[in-house]
Amino acid sequence: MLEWTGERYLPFIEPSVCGAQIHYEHLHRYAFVAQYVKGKKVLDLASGEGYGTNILSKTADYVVGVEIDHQAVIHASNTYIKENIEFKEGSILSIPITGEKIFDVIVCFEAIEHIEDHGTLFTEIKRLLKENGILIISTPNKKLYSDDSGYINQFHIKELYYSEFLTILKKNFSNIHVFGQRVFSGSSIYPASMKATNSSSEFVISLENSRFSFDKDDEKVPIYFIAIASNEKLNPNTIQRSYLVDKSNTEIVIFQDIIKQNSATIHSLEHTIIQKDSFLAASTANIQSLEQVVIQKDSQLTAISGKVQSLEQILSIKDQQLLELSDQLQSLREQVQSLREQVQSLRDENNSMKQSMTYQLSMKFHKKIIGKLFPEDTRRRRFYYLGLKGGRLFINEGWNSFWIQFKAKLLHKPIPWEKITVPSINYTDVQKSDDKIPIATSVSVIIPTKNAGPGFEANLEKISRQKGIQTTEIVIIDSGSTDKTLEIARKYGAKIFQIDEENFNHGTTRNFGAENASGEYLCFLVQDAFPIGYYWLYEMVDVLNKDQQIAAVTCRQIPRSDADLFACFGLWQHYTHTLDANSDRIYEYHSDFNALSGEEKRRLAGLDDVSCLVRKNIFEKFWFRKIQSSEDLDLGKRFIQEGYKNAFLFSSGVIHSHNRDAGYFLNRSFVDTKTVTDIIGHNTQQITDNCTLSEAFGSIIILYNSLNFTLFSLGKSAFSLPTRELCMKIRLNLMNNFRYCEQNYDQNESLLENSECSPGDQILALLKNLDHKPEYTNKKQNNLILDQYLWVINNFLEYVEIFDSIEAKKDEFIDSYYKIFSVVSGASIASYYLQKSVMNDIGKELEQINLKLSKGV
Amino acid sequence: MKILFAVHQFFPNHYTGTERLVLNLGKQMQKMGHRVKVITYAITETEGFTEKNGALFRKYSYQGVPVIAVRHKIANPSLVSFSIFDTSLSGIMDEILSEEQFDILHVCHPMRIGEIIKSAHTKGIPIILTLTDFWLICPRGIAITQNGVLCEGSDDGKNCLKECYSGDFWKNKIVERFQQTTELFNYISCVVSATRFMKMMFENRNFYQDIHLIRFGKDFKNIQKNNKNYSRDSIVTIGYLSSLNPHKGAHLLLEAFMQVNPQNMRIKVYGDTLSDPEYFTILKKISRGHPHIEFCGKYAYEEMSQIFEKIDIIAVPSIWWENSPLVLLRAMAHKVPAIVSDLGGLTEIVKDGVNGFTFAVGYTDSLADNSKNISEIIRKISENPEILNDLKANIQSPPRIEEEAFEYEILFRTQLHKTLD
Repeated sequence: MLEWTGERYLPFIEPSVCGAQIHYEHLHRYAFVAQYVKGKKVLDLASGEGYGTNILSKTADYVVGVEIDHQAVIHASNTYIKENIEFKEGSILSIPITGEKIFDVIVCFEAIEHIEDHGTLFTEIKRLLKENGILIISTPNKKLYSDDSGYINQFHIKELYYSEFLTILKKNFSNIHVFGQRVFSGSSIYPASMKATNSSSEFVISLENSRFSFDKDDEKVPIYFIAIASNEKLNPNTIQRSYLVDKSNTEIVIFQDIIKQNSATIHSLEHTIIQKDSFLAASTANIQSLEQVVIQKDSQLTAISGKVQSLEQILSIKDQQLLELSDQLQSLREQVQSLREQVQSLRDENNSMKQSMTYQLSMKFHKKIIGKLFPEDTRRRRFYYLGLKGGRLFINEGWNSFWIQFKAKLLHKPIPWEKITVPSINYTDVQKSDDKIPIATSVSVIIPTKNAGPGFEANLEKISRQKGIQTTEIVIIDSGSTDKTLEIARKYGAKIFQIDEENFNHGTTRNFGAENASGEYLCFLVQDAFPIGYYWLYEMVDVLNKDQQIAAVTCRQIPRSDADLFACFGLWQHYTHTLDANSDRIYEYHSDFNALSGEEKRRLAGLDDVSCLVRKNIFEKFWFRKIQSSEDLDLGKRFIQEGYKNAFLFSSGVIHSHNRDAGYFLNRSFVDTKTVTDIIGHNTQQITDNCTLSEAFGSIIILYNSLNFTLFSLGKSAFSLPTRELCMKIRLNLMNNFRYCEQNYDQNESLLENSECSPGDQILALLKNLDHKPEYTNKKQNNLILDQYLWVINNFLEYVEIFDSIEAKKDEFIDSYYKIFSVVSGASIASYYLQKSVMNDIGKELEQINLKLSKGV
Repeated sequence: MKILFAVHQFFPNHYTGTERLVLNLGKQMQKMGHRVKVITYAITETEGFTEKNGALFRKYSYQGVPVIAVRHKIANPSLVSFSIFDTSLSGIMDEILSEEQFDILHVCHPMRIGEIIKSAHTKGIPIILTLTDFWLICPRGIAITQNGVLCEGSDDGKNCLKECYSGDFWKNKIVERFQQTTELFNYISCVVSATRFMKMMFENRNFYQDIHLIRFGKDFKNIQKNNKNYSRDSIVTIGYLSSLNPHKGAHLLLEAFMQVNPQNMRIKVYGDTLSDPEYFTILKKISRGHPHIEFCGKYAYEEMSQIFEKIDIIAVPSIWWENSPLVLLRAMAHKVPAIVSDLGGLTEIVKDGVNGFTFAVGYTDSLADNSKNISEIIRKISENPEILNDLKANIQSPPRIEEEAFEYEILFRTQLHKTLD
């Protein structure tokens, strides 16, 4: 089998190996020539594999193929065995055929460029070609085949340009017809229903700027030239276009396969690239991370190096100290040794003395004479010892020392053992910068009282010690105290007025105090509010003093040191959310007050008679109204509406808070919601909406039970959670439990019965004492109350998360949730009451509820 | 606001006046809605620490107040209670201030944790310093020399080197310390003192000017006023409630009592008898087993109300510059008058013959002479116990802890607004 080297065409080579183009070119050429060899004797020079010779043999009379390659000749001879074929081995420059003018047609395809001596070739051709014979010869168009493409065919020895090809042909033949050959892409339109004629049409198109356009035929440039040369005129009918159509579209299929393979390869490579990119990104991130680590380590290393240096310095100091101490120790040791030696010497002397005759005689004298004159345990003996001591003192230390000791002893004074000297210090009189210039005015502090308790004295003491006001009086209106309230009030020189308990009203009682007050300013204070500092009153007066349009000033309340968590939260929420006041403010509004939102009205009107100061001449135009509560808010609103200003002092305050049980807040919230709504004309807490009383209470019971479930199910370990996390857990569990209780509402009453929760017990008792037994529930109402509760506990979380952990205040924390429940419940019932009130549809049952919940506030 | 309190030591192991000031202030600030944390140095604690930034730290909570205790890796390194700053703690201080954005740093004692001041200053956090003793201007803290003499003043360290710190080793240390003191004051936004005396001591020596005055507050929870009324026949008990160290002057009181030897008076001495055994021996020697002098030993803070029920007048015979001892404030809160020396800030609280008695200290070599004034006071009370009624009536309650917290809160807000501006 012949080997594919690229030198010669082999028809059996897979198109996938060599491409289909080469097949098209070679087969077409011989097919084209076949028309010229019909019944002729043909010489096929450079026959190669022999396929062409074979093609020619189909129409020719006899064909001789001449090939220089022995293997090729053997192959051809063994492959193409026909009677009219013969293959000879030999060079086309010395064709191994004797004789002259033998052949009708000589075919020489793609051979001339393989030899140097073109002249000899043509000589041989002319030798063997008949006079009227034709030469059909092909060669590559050097310009396109090699120059423009840059391709170098190693087997080509001398390629020809068209002009050169033509010249050599013209030199040897008189008639030349040149054809061009090139493989183009194309479309074939052929008669499908009738027989084809020989005529054909060709259309040439070319692609330019991504568009095809029709082109001239002579714009086609051939890769190969095929010339028909003869000395006789050629039949013009034989000058025709020729087309070879590969109905199997091999070239396209090959290219498609290649494209497919390439696409697969590209896809695979892209995937590989993605993987590599990903790996690269990861590696880069890793590198960056490692670089950071390196930087950190460097930094740590630097810090450590610094510390090492510092430690080395300390070590050096320590070494120094050690040396010094060692020296001291050595010195002390030497001293000790010296002292020991002295002691030993003295001992020896002492022993020696004791053994001496003089000593023994003295001791005998001492025992016998002194012992008899000054017996042991007698006063004489004591004086004897004293005298001995004195003598020794006198001999050893001198007269002065003796005299001091003697004097001290005589006066029973101990020997002074410590010297106290006080160096003189340059005392510069410190400017008492906190002393303010007194205001020449008078203030009446009006306090309604009833059993104010032991702390009342401290409050009155503080009031009486206020500085900076020329005249202050205290006016007490007592409504039946049985403790020491009145005694304390008398002690501080207060004006005391007593009224019956049933006549007490927050508004009118204060009015009564104002009527009997002589001050230019009226300070309304509650009995358990403790003024902060000695200029509390002064600071409030100062505000009003500076602006005549300010009718009143309120100061801040801060919780007592024993205030529980809910009390602290209540105050915090009041200043942070309700009033939104964290600085000194002056409020005024000169437009339609009623057009404002509920919150804005609340802030503007925010007078608070826990501790406030009012200009008396303005107060007397308004007075407090006789309402159940919030008389201060009402007064503040009227001040604003009449064009006055209200001031708030954040920088001045009183200590005031109450720790109350959860039950109190139910009533308080009920009363406050009603009165505040009435005053500002707007219920800022719309917690009921077109529901029945049953449904309003039903939602409260659901909330109560779900709260119980939630708080009971908190384990001990829950309180070691960070505060925020604990609150969020409670919130989530509450929401879930609320839905559960809502769905199992029919069981709720029994749950209420079985509740063991305290302080919720009070709320339970209140709810049970109400005559109404809720039977139905309303989802919308339930959502309203739940939303309101969740809103309040959100605020609670905002406050309580100032504590990292609530463990130390566990009980107060749990209590707070119940108190918030009370507040929300009270407000909910009040909302319901207000709605019915607007519709004039209160009814007997609701009025009973109103009376019960209005008590104790 | 987020407030970080810095103090040299803290509960539960340390519970003297400054620690109590911080605890009470912290708890009250929480009640007022502020987030509070305490940073302190663990001088005696060793268990439960984690290493961070080259130091050790431990987080815990005391009565609901979160605490971060830091310490060196080596227990009690030398100079830890001497140096103003310590760069080996800068890393952990920076970390603490980075973990949580504090609005205010309130330093109640800068010993051992002074580095937090530098870190806070770097981060632009306003720093308020409350002067609770003389440590910043006296390394020994109490302005008493080695020889037991009240110090005239540091004179930029020269007196320190002369009286208390000798040797080349200390020379540089003292100079550096006073340089660091000046540096520290440069970082401070505002300095607060509880007494005019302390204010004067620092202002006159040009360490700081315009020091604010905010009196220490008392927690009036569990305060039961002593409402006794005294007659000619009343037995009067003098209470001494302080540490038993020479500069606290218990020996003056006992010596005075021994001189007068009043039959209708008693003395109860409360204090740790083991804190200075030598001094206690001297006290016992002075009292000579007198039946009316009772040594009651240590007392717990919570027992103070019961103690004040048993005593009629307290004595604060300090022979050093007391500032505003909490025991005196507590006595005032209980309406118990006091006998105090005329040193330091004591006479700002007690006015002689008004709400108590004051006596002059010093200018003499004689213990007996120094006790003379006290013995006159004791004699006066013994001859006329009714005098206590007048004194009690004139006692002005000290400020409450809520008032102190309120004033600090206003100060904090002012400083914060200055920073924001």
